[in-house]
Parts: sequence; structure tokens; C-alpha cells
Amino acid sequence: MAVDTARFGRRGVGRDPRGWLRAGAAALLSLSLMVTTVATASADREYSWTLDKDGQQLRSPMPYIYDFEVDGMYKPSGTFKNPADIFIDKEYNVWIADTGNNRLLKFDERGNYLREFGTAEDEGKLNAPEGIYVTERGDIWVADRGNGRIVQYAPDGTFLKALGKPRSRLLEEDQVYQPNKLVIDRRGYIYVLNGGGDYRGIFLLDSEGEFRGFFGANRLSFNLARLLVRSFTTDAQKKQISKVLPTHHANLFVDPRGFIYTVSPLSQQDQIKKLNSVGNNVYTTSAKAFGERERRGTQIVNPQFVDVTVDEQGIVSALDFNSGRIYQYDQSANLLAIFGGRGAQRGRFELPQSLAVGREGRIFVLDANRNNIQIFRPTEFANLLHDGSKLYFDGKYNEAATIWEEVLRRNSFYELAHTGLGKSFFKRGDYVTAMEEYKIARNKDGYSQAFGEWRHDFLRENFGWLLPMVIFAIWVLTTVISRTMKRVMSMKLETEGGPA
Amino acid sequence: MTARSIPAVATPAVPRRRVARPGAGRAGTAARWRAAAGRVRWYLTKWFRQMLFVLTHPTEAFWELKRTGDWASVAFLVFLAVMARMLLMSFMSFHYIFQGVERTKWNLERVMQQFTATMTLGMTNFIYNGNPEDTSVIQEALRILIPFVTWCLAHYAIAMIFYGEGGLRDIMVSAAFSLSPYIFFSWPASLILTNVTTLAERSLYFSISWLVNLWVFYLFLTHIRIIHDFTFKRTVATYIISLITVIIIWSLVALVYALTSNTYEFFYELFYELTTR
Repeated sequence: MAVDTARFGRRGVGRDPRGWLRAGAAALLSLSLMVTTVATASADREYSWTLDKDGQQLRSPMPYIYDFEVDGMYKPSGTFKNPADIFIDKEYNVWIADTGNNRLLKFDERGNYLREFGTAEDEGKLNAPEGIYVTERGDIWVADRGNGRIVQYAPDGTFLKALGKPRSRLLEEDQVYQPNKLVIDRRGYIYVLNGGGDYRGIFLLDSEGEFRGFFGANRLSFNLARLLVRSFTTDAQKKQISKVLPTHHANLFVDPRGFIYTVSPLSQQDQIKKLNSVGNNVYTTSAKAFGERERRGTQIVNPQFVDVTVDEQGIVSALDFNSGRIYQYDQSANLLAIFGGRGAQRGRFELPQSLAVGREGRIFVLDANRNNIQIFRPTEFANLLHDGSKLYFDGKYNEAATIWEEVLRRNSFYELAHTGLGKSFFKRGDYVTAMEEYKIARNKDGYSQAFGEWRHDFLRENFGWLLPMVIFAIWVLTTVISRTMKRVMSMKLETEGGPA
Repeated sequence: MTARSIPAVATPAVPRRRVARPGAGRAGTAARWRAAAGRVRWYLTKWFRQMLFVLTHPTEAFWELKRTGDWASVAFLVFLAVMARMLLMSFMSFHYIFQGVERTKWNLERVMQQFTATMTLGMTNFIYNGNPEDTSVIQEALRILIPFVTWCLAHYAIAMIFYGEGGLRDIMVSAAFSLSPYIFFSWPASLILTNVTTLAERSLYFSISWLVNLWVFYLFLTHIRIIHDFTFKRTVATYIISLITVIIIWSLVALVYALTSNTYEFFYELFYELTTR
């Protein structure tokens, strides 16, 4: 329609003065159409950003674009109702814990409905399931929160067993047990999260449902103000003060190597953790704040990560509920990309609950308000980032360098690419260029290392003349200083009055 | 009509300001400039010697400063401290600027550094924690000026209560001269050490910064002891109470600001209502 009016306007131009008016009107119309299209556009016309060392936003090409969406409408399943969890198994089938409808749904990766579980009127009937995990053999494990148990189904959907509330001396008898997320590692251990914000950590169960202890609990950090308050208050006052508790885990993910990734939405830093087999965080060495703090009016909104997923290369994608954005980090917790956001458009979320990664790095995001799954596919830019960081993490710095150069051709601001190039130059022995690259990336540790190597080379080459020069300079300095001092020592400071 | 000079070194006689004689006309312009330059040189020489004296013989130097100190030296030395700070920042090598580096580790070195820096109210800071492009001279000047002025006022008030002998001029002059280790050593340390050492060897730079901070702290204690003729115990007591007073002054200023900004807003909105209705 816009094209028609434009053509009409163009034809009018030059023939009679009204044509100009028409042309103007057409231009205005098409402009307003354009504006409205941009405002409701899908994600592929927008830009993304990364964060520099100060947390300032640097524009960046879109890493992921909206591909298609899956919902239950006009399918045998019917629509979803408040779905809570999404899982993608090793055949790339998509599983959904359809909490409000008390069932599991299975789709293929294109969104074709396959079947449902947990609705048969037998022992395996589900009540508000919130977590799902499918093992490599195809066994289906469900955190059946409403029934307070964990249920196992065979791949064909027959009920196998249910693990109820674990008993242990570590747990009270009246312990509230509402399992809402679970994963299973290769040894068959079951890692269960207790709903309702249990701060004691992950429940570690063996395959028979026997309680083996708590795993990977968050710790409270030292706080001087709290210590002061506690040391100056009486016992009665202490009871009035609300207890400070460590934060809980909201979700977890297990990678093929057995690392457990967790997210803690109420933490301010180290919200994403990679726990090794003894429950220690190996993702970051020092406290790192993931996500972005946002200022909304006078309020500061902290990110709340509610789900995390890791692809085969080790790229971590985490879903921030507050901003609705997905933050992607590499194997050593460097920010790679940001996309998504709150909104009603395509590629945005209203109540994002869970995410999972499918074939070729596609990211599936489950929205509990829109009751759908939106699928995003990585752009060429994101694929470059993933390849580059994988090569870098594996220590193939020179192969990575060619990819980082490609990345910089698309986005010259990209700090991680400059760091990668710096590392490559460093390995090749070109320390001066490495220092320049590190300086652009504002990577102080890398710069310092390259500088140390450069200094070593410089000293080795120039020691012959440097040493006499330094000795001479020290001699000159000491003589000048001692003479000046001697003069000053012998002075009397008769300075009353001074010059008029 | 000869100017008084410092006896030990033959400084050139500074011409006095002459009364314009009838008939001299404008011929004296060059002479007046020369005289002004002479006076400037005289003062600079004096202050330089006093600084060196403070560094080498603090006790005698502060004793002398009670007699020979002048107000102008306060402005000059604070200016030098600001310049030293700017030089320190501009000489600092890229990898020593701690923007975005998490320094979460607490070790003895850092505790001592924090302690001495606190005792000098952050006036003699060595760590540059900013973005080189965002540095502002005014901001850095205020970071020295505000603690300096509040310290002097607070200390003046407390010393009066403690029957100290020193007046406001003695306090300000000797506090300014106590900054001389920072003025002399901060920027060479930054120039030489941060451009020669890597981050792994950073303790070399930070121990120097710690020593200078400690030195300034010692000079503060000494000048309080000397100018007020206090015992050591009384000196330490005054020092600590003055520090507390500084904090009280700052919190009072913050309180007053919070209250007045509200009243300002109130009157502004009242005015806005009245004018737009």
C-alpha cells in the first residue's frame, strides 16, 4: 500500500502543484508506516550490546535472531498453562513441564507435537510438575512438586518409580519437601532443588532416593556492618532483626563432563556458578557480578537469573528474569552477547521461565505468560564468537586470532577479540603489538605479562650500555641531592618578614 | 634599603617596591617586573628550603615554621600536592590503573596501606582508580583541599580545647608542610616504578606508597606535638579526636545538605505551583 501511494505521488510530481502535496503526504505516510514497522519489528532490525570493563554498553551486532515459535494452539496438546521448565534431550526433542495442566509434553525440534506424559490415572499421575530431566538412555525424571516427590518414567512413558521425601538425620521430620528442579549426573546421582528458596543447597540423592547430603550451598560473605550490629545488640534485639540467610539456587544444569551449573537470583555477585564434584565454584576466581544493574527511575534493579543452559562447546547462556534478557558467557565467564528483553513483540518475553539450547546452538526460551516457546538462531556473528572463544579456551590462540579478526571486522569495539589477538601476538613473541591490543581491550593482566616479557627482551639486548647509564644516573642524582642537602643544612632560616 | 636575605646562601637582594618619584614616568615598568620576579624567587627558595628541612629535621623544622611560616605557603604547598597527584596519575603505567580490577584480597600490605591512607584522610593517595579520560583537575584538587581544610579547622577547634599553643596559621602551615614527602616522592615512584615493574611485582610500588603515607602520618604527629608543645599522649589523643571531628563535620554538612535540598525543592515547587496556576 505504501508503495502504491508513493508511486502515485511520484507520478503527480511536476505535472501540477498538487502533485507535490501528494508526494509530501505519501512520504509522510510511508515514513509513519516505516516508524510503526520499526517499533513493532522483530529482533533482527535491532542492535545488541556488550559491556566494557566499566559496565558501559558498547553497541554490537545482534547475536541471535528470532526464528519461530511453538505453542500448543491447534495441536492435540492444547495450549500450555504456566509451563515452568524446558529440556532438550540428546535427540533434540523438546520437553516441557506444563505445570498448570499437570503434564509433560514432548515435541520434536521443529515444534511438532509428539506425545504427553503423566496424565494417566495411575501412580504416575503428576501434580504441578516443575522440573524435568531426560537421561541419555531416555529415562524421564520429573520433579513432581505438587505431590512432593520425584517420578521416573521409562522412555515409552510407563511409570517406573517415585522417590518421596528423603529421610536423614540432617533433615527435620516436618521438613517441607517440594522438589522443583532436578538433574542427574553420569554416576546416577540425583541433584534436586527444594522449592520455596531452600538456602541449604542442592539435595543430593542416590538413584534409590537415599539422601547423601547437601551440595554446593551458597555462603554468606563477611559484612562489617552486620558484625557491628550483632556485637552491639542484645539477644532480645537480635530476635527482632530479620535473620540473614545465604541465597538459594533457583535452577541448575549439568554438562556432559559432570559440572553442575547453578543460578542464584537473589545474589548480587557470582550468580552463575559452575560446581565441581565437591561443590566448589570453578567458574570465576573472584566475585563477579553477572548481568547488568539497571536504573529504572530512582530504583536500581539487579539482575535475577532464573535459568542457565550450556551448549556442547561450554558456552553458558543465562536468563535474567528482571530484564528478560539472555546473557551469554564463554568458558571463563567473559560476556559474549546479550539479546532478548521484556515486551510483547516477537523475540521478547513477558514471563520468561526457562531456556534450553538445541541443535546448532539454537536457544529455546519458555514464556509462562505467553505460554509459548520462542526459538532463536545464532547469527554469523554469534557463531564467530563461539568458535573464537572455543579455540581460545583450548589454547589454539593463532587459529582463534583469524576468527577474532573477522569479529573485529564486524564490530571493532569487541574487547574480547582484542584480548584474543593480544594473546596470539604474545604467543608469537610480538610483545609490543600484544601490549597495544591488550590496551585497547583494557586487559591489565595481559598487558602486564606482555610488558614483563618485553622488558626481559629489552634488558637482555641493552644491558651493555644500560647498566653504566643507570650507575651514572644514580651517581649524578646522589651528588646533586647531597650537595643541595648540604647547602640547606648549613642555612639558617632567617626569614622573618621577607621582602617587602 | 637592602632587602633582608637568607644569610647562608647569597640570594640576590630583592628590590623593594619603590614609591613612584615625580618625574620617573613609566620608565619603572621593567624594574617593577624584575622586582616581582625577585620576590617570587625569594619565596620559592624559602619554601623549598623549609620543605627540605621538614623532610630532614622535622622537629626543628616545625619549631622554625612556628616563627617563619607564612600563609602563602599553605596555598603553594596544597597546589604542589595537587600537581604531584596529577603527575602521579599521568605518569602511571596503564596496567597500574585499577579500574575494573577487583582487589578483593586482604593482606597485611593492603591493611597497612588502608590504615595510613585513612590517617591522612586520603590526601596522600597513591592508587589511581579512575579512567584516564575522565580525570578532572578540579575533582582531584577537591580530594586534597576538602580533607585538608576540614582537618585544619577540626584540629584548630580541638587544639584550643586542649590548650594547645599553636594558632590557626601554625596549624595550616605545618599541616601543609607535612605533605612534602608526598610532593617529593609520589610522582617519581609512579614514574619509575609503575613503568618498570609488572603487576606481579606491584608490592614494590605499594610498599613505597605505604612508606610515604606513614611518613606523612609521622609528620602530622610531630607537628601537632611541636606547635602545641604537647606530650606524646596528648598528641595522639588530639589526633584521634580531630579525626572524629572531621567525620562529624562531614556528616553535619551532609545532613545540612539533605535538609536544605528538601527545603529548596519545597520552595521551588511552591514557586512553580504559584507561577503556573
